[in-house]
Amino acid sequence: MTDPALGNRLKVLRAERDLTQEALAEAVGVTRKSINAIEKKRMVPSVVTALKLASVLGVPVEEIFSLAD
Amino acid sequence: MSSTLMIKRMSKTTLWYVITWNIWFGALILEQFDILPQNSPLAIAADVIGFAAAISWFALLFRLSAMGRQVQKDAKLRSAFHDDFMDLAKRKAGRIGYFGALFSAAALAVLSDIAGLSGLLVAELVILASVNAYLVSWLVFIGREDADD
Repeated sequence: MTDPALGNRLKVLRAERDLTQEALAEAVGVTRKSINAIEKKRMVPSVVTALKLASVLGVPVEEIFSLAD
Repeated sequence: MSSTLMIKRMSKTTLWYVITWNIWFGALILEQFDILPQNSPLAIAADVIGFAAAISWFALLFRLSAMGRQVQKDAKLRSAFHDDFMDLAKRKAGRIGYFGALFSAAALAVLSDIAGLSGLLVAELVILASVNAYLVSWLVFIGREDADD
């Protein structure tokens, strides 16, 4: 499922921490394809995945995801 | 084993599973059309190829089952294989498979009336179309997301 209203900074935050999609996926417990699909805004993650991403990246969830203007 | 590697292996095995199943089922369907004369070299070759495909299909089925057990045993793999992306892939493929079954059943119902196809043949063609719609769309969806690290 996609939603054009939902923006995300996942790729930027991941790059800042020098993490590959594979490493982030492993840490979160999802497939690398999930991370790729979220970054490319082809899929809206579930609340659980969003919270796990925030926890692994050490930022509040609203710093990763935001509603586009 | 990482989930990426496991998905790659599963996709490859599923692709061969689809190919061998189509050859096997295709040979079965071909027999019912009575196109090839009985005991002709072509008919025998079709039988042999169909039989070989059926054996390969069973071997691939066992391999896929073994992979499924491996995923269930490993907590990390189990979690990854039930993530948002994999669930979405299953849902999308399921929807395409469902409509594949509906459309092929409707089209073949009309066609069987016109061309006088047997009920067994229609049932086989509907199974072939719907299973192919599900598995091929799953493979396409799974294969589409590539890394860009």
